[in-house]
Amino acid sequence: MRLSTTKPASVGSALRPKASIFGLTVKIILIGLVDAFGLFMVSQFFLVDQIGLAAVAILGLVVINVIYWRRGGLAAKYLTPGLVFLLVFQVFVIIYTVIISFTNSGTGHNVSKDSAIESIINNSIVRVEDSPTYDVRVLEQGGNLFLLATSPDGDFFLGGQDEPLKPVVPSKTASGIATEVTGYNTLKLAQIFAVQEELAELTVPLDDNPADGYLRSADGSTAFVFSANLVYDASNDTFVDPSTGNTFVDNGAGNFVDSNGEELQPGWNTAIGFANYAKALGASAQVELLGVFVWTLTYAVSSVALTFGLGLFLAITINGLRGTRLYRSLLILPYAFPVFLSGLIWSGLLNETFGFVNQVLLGGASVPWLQDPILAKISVILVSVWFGFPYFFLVCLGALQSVPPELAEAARVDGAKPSQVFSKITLPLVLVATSPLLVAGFAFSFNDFNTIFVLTGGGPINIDSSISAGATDILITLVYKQAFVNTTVDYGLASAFAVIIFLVITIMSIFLFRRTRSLEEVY
Amino acid sequence: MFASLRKKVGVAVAVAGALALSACAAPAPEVSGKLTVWTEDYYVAIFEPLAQEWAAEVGIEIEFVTKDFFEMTNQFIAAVPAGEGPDLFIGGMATTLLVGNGVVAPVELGDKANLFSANALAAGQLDGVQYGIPFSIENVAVYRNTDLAPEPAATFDDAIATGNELVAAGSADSPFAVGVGPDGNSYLLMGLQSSFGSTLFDGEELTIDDQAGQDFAAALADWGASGAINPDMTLDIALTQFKEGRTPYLITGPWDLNGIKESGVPYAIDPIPSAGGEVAAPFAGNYAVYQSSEATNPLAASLFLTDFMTRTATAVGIFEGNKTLPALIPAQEEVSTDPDVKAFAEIGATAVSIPGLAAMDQVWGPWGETEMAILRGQAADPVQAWIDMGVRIREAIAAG
Repeated sequence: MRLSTTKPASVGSALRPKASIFGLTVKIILIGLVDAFGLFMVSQFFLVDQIGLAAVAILGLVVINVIYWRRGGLAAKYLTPGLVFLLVFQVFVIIYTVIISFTNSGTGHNVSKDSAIESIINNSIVRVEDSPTYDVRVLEQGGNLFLLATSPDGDFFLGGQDEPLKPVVPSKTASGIATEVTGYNTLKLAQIFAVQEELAELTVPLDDNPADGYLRSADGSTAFVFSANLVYDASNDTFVDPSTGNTFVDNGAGNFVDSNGEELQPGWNTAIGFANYAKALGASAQVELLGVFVWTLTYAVSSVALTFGLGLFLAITINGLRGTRLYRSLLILPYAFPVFLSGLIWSGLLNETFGFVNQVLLGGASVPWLQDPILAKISVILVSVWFGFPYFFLVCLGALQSVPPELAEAARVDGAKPSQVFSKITLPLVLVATSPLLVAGFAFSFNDFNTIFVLTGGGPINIDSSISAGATDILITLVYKQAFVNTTVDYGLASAFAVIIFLVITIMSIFLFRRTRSLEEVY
Repeated sequence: MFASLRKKVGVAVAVAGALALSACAAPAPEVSGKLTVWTEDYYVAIFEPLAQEWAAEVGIEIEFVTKDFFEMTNQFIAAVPAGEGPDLFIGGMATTLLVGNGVVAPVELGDKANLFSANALAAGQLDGVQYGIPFSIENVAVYRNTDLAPEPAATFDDAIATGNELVAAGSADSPFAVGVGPDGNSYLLMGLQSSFGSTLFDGEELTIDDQAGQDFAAALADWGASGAINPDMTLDIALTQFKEGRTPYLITGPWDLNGIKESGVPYAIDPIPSAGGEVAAPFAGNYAVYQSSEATNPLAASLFLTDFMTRTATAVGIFEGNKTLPALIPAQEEVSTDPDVKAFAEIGATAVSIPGLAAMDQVWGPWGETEMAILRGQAADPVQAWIDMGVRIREAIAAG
């Protein structure tokens, strides 16, 4: 009202002020920071040879600068920060997971092919059995390293990289260890530290026949005779065992294997197509997977329904009572306690022999709360309700307090019974506000790893299951069991499962949001 | 060439980025001459004072980085290929896993290999190549409450009989405590299982489900039914019961020794009583130091392994901290005056190493699950359940 009384011209100038020096400075600083950070990212991507990511980052920087330096396009200026965060924290993660799901990433396929080859070469170099130990000194001449070796028999040799050992006459210690040779500089320990990476690479052939082995010194004071039991043939990309002629070839799935199927360790990280999806949806387990899926749905639906029901009930009961705030504070407690801890506590409380529930509350009964397959299912749902109801209580309380009391009053005046007022007026209005949260709650419960994992670990065990699915295993805990077996982790398989679950939840959520839209049309 | 060119471009851009950031510096290339060691806080406290002294003597710098016990092995495996790993890694023996992931380098001990317990050293080997240098050997044993049970039990049945009498007399709550619940603990039960002559593998062949294993399964069903072994007893409950004098026997390792001492319960450390007639041989666990395959200080790292780790003073110093039998034989002789260590060491002489096969990962899950199902009486026929377990493990190993 006030605005309309002032002059239109001044309104216009107030809404669209000329760029002040201050504003411009702030803008330059902010965009400068973003650009600096972006360039930093680009440099890091380049350093780790991630050209694709570097290109994306450069493109992103250009787009951001264009958006903020051009005139107009106000909507884009507001939307860009949100879109950037969406891309970085959501879209990127999903794309990355999808990419991983097409690789063999995981235990045994942890490094790049080059590193794997290097490791295999290093691991194949073994000490020649019963070979002598040499006392050595590290010598330097013209930037090259040499080993001055004293054999156990008291003979002295000198050799370098690709320069076989030859006898020399050195200066020696009282105990007969060679220390110096004229023309060479004997390195002290501190100097050896400066060249330790070169020393680690130094291999000195014993003689002109490479099959006789060579000297290596890891510590700069003793050397052993080593020989390689595998030789890498770079032109064919194969490893050959020189003693047997056995050949190991790249099997296309990240390992060198021989004709008997024996693999060389380590393997490397590589793309393997749909193999993970084939494994995830393997025919042998389909019936059982379906069972787990049905239980996951049951768990998610009943957990959300009961949680919401209890929360709503308490909210209605407490709404308007004296001391609502006190109840509200008390009821937030289960929610404020970390699920991981209270889950452990619940698993202890429900222990069949030693648990508080059986021992104290039930006077020494032995109810198998978490051991009987059906009771365990009920137990995990009840505990998940215990975790979740305060949330819906708070949400419903807020929603109830925003329902205009006039509506209920009007309905009563029109002769509606209290139950009708609730089901026809209050509940629909509360649902309008809470239905998106119900969908979100469903998606959360569908992947409620914490509750299940901490409380029962998916148990009680079903030893007849071919996929180790316990009675309370939901999809996500089953995936965890399948993909992370003790020390063996299979990120590729886990990602494939994650993508499948993601698709399932996305489809269901789209469907459910459609349904909730019809609720919102109540208004 | 191209890669190095890209690196140069990258550096140039990094410089530009650093200039743009002005205050924020781009990370300097790794040229520190500092030996970096990753381990859990427990071993940082034990190793650091000893290692610092040694480093000063050799003339290098050494830095310990504290890692989370449960995460550190996987972090190490992830960090090494990225060039962000340490030079050395101290943790539980995991040779097959670390070699399979290409993150550790071989070590040649030369004649110093003779200084180590052969079993412990073997756990650090794969295909005859040494990777991990062991420093501590641990195994489980039976702690006996000498007030409740003054004499060691000759057999497991004797122990249960004694325990049941105490429970009947009201002076104990449980006849025997072993923390298997709620998910199974085949590590603790291995002593009882091996007393039937059961082994896990013969070479690479699975033997867990042979006749000896099946005998153990049948016995396990009896123990579960009679309450000799309670499947609801967790590690915490078992330890608490023993510390409060509510059970005469407890199977656990040296890691609970200090806690039990502090509780004031009079105890003795006995071998696990045989249940199947043969020697009850528990698992031997080993702790080891590994050198990263991408160590930036390979000389210093290998000196750490071949010099520092082979010194008797180091092994004795570590023992002072963890009270666990050293893997170094001269140190074993020096610390064996401690009666508890002596008892554990004597039992450890019979211990068997956990098979260093990748296939072992497929064994733990079905093994523990089946044991629990049998203990709880959920398997209608325990012997058949044990045979089925063998089938499951074989399938899992074949599937890789």
